[in-house]
Amino acid sequence: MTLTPERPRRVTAPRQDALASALAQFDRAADQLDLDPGLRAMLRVPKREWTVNFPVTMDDGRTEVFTGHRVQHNLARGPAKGGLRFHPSADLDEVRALAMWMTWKCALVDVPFGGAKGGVAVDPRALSPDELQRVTRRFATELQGLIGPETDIPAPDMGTNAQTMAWIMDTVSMHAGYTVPGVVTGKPVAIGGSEARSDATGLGVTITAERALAERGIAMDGARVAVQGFGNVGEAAARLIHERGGRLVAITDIGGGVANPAGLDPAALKRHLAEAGTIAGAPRTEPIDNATLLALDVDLLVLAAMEGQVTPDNADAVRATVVAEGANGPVTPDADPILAERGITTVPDILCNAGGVIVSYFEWVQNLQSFSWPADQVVDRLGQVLGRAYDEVARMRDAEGIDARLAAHVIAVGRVAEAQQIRGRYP
Amino acid sequence: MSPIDERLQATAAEPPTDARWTAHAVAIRVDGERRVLRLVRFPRGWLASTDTVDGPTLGHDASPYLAARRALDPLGVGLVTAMAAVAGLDRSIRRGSAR
Repeated sequence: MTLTPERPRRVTAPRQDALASALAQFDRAADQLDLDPGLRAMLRVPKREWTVNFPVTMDDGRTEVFTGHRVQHNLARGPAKGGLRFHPSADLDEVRALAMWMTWKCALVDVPFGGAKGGVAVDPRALSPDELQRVTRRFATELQGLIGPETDIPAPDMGTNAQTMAWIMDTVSMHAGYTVPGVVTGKPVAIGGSEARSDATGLGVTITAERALAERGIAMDGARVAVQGFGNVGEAAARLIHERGGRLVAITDIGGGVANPAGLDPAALKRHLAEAGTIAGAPRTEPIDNATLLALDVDLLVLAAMEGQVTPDNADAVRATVVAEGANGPVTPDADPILAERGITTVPDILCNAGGVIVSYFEWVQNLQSFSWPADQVVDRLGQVLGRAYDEVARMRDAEGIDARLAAHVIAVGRVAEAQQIRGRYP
Repeated sequence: MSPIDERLQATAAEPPTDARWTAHAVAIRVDGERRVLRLVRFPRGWLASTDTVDGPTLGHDASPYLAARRALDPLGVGLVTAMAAVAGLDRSIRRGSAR
């Protein structure tokens, strides 16, 4: 066995600091609530952080050492819940921010979970399937004792998918000696995954975006739509928006972008993606870059890529009527007021992309009950939970005269603060 | 359907000029019945109360929202509804009590 230097897999992107964004949003909500200073100090930091460096044997016999993190931000309302991402830029601060956002997201939609997130600094596209499986299983083993149906339940995120969750479930089950389906959500349906889980986040984006458009007097049917990102969330959102009559005029992904004023066919783009690894260059499309997409004159702009995409540097260029945050933190806090001053409605991330965690909750409940719900029941219940959350945010927004992001955070932080206080202090 | 369907008025009782508290009231409707949510601001937080057939309720917290939530909880009023009721108070009254 030889120890070799890590291959150059890190890719740096110009992004705003996710943790700074998360803390700024929390501080605004805490100010609005006049939150107790002690409680504020507690909620500003994660409860637990776990960092592990672990070796994996690569296909060519070399050993590579990978670094992974799991952060549990708050457990006052239930077990920790949050995705696991494989991405070259995954670091502890990013995972801290994402874990905090999960706490607020779960509280906002009122599912009984705390917030967590995990990340491994790796580019999954640079690994073979066997290497990816070994990375996943070893990281799952390193998390043994931390994750479990009653403690911390990972789910797919950037760079991970249903197969990744299946490997984690199998690894945990092998160590336990029996099958533990509730340890992860977002699994394949064949091993206890929920119907409608794979489209859940994209469906939630579509539902909340449709509500926001309606508030602006615009129907989804016929709306001009641009989508940044064509991964798990962006693809599903684009497809469901297309099904509802929205006209997809531009979409970008990690390899480039495509535009067609007459409308794009998401099914054709998905086929091209499977063949070429990117939607760029798909037939009957024109190329477009991210900066141009963000500045398009559209009714709806769906941001389903990464954090920190709309900043004070480019917020003035955004011309959409509604911006839907399918990703976590794509609009930075200092860009928020610029969009608001220009009359742009932002559907905040902890509401907009909460469909995934809502159906993850449904999957977890089904696993605990060893019972499965049909897809239409899952979709119906998702619509009810998300619709109620949207109504509550709109109510708080209108009652206080504040923006939707602050309203969402005030509700979420209020719920967590209440739970924390009712539980009291130990010892 | 929210149990609070109408906010009637917000009133304030004038304390002595050297008082370290101010009293406020927000009229609300819970399941169609008019109730008064009383809120008293102290330097380090808030007391909230409303009347029920079992007697007055009491909630206290650094946050007026969470104090109101506790005071209205026995009536079955949810968190968001209770927090929205506090919006009846002028923002300048609410800010800064916990810092």
